[in-house]
Amino acid sequence: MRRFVFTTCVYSVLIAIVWQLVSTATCHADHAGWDGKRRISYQQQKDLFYNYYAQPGPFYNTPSEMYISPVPTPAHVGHTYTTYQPFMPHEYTYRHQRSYYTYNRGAGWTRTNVRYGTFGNSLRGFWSDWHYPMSNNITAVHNDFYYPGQRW
Amino acid sequence: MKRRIVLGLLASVVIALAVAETFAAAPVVWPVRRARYYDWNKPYAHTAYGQPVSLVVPPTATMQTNWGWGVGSSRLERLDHQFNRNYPGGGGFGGATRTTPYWPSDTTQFGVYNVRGPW
Repeated sequence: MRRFVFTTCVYSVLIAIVWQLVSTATCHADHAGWDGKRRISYQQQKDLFYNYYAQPGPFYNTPSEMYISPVPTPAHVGHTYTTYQPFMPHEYTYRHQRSYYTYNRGAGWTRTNVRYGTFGNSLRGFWSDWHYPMSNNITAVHNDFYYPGQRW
Repeated sequence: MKRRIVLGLLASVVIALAVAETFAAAPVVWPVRRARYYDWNKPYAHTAYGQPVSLVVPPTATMQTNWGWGVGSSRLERLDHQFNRNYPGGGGFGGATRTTPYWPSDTTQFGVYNVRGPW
């Protein structure tokens, strides 16, 4: 009986450890990576002027920072800052949406919803590719006559 | 006796599940893990800046194309590296970089390398 109690205790300790591992692992899995939509931003207000870095690799040992990439524009400007996280240029590079939650003492929470995308841009591309027929079989209007050099 | 065997089996199953859960990762984490083992750049410096330059591409990009002269030199490569918030430290970086050859034979020789932007 005493032995059984001992083994049970050992098992329960093991299960506790394992549970801890599993819960942290799932927590990481929930927060890391990308599932097509980030619902809550982890950027804080104090992160506003923080930079992003590419880590130095094992062979060439060269880091890289994202802002200002590659140099300040114009050249005589010492530094340029983006003062509002949703306007940071890298946010415009892909379609996504994001919510910023900020706590202000005495005022509570604020929420900012941002959506990025190419709204109707594909349709514009479609219309720019479309050309009306400049000639048909009935009226023999040749493109080269009216629009030399252009072919549709 | 039987209960002990059952308990032991249960514990081992839980341990195995936990180990699998710990070492497995979602596919979105794979590129981040792969990126630790090689560099975002090749040892070529951009002509205008004297250092390799990273080109920010959308984080949703997964592959990149590089072209080169000769049979089999144009290839479709993984795009694993991504900008993140970890500050790499103060200094002591960098090694010898080469300049772009007068007659470049590969697109990586221009010193511009794709790195995905942060999420």
